[in-house]
Amino acid sequence: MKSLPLELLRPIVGHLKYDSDALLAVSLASRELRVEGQRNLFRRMVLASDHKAQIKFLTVIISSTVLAQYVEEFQQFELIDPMQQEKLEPLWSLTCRGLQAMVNLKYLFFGAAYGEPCAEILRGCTFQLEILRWENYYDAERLFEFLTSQRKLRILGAKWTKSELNTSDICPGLQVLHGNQHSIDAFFPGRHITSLKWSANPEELRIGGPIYTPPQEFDHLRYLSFGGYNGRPLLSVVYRYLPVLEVLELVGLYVIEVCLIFFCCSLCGSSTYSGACVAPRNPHASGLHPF
Amino acid sequence: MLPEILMLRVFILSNTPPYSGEALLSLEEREEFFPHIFELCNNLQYIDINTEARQYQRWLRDGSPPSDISDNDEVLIPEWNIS
Repeated sequence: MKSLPLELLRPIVGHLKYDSDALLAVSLASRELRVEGQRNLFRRMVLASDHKAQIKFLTVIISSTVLAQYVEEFQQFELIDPMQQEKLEPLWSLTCRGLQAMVNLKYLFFGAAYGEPCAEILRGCTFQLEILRWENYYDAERLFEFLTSQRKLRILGAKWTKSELNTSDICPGLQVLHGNQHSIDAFFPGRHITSLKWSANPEELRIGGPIYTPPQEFDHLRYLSFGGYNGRPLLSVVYRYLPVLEVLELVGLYVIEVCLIFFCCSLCGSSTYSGACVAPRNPHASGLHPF
Repeated sequence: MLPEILMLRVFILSNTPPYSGEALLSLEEREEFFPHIFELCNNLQYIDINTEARQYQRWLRDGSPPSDISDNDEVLIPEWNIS
């Protein structure tokens, strides 16, 4: 085994990356194999709601700097007691210390419970994430503080609530955004985001609210998933602002949209469409209220 | 509205919003309604209007039977040319 070069050993063990039992066996087989086995075993940690396993994992990586450095993906949920609305201990404290130890973390998917704010847990973390999915609400100020240090972030999922925060200098390389209208307003300007999953907040759908005009940077969008758990604004809000969009997923379809599309078809004739029935470029002149 | 998105080549309708559990349009209504729209979209290569509660299935305009798709990413790979 000592004669096997690392260039061969690494891809062989790498094939076992989704088989934790096999990786455990490899790690115990010999000292030579242990490094590669553990590197793959600790690379991705998703333990869902298994609190005992989470505590064991976090205890191990807090006690071993080497093992903590192997962690590249970490997903954590249910850190708050839903009945008492209190932090679950010792899981919360261990997660806090564990995150600080994961210096090479690249992908973090985090939800405390019921969307409770908890970005304080990111204080003192030095990792440079590429992907962050943050499933907690009313966290904008503390999350903003964390994001100022993240220069490599490419994919961000976050429900933003503070539109007055100046986000112009953070996350310059963002390419993919999952979020609500506040997230769009905070992270589209000045960036080259090509993929958006727009999940509206209930207040975005309020009847009588202001007509929304997307930022100029919608010109770069190639992929759009429009809608989520709460529904979505009408397609008429965005369709004029998507000159290079290639892929569109609509979540749900409203009766008024069916009527409008059918009306356009009736005017144009299904085989002779020439663009003559398009709505005005100025959304305010269309008379269509987006909500 | 869809024909105005000039570069559109893939369209997916997730017909059931997660919160409601009921399809907004029946499959028959969709099959009757959408082909007229797609004839107006010059660059459209792939459509999927038979996606119930994000359990994606293919529905092709050439009459091919639907088939299950396990990975959502597969849906975004156009396999069928409208021409």
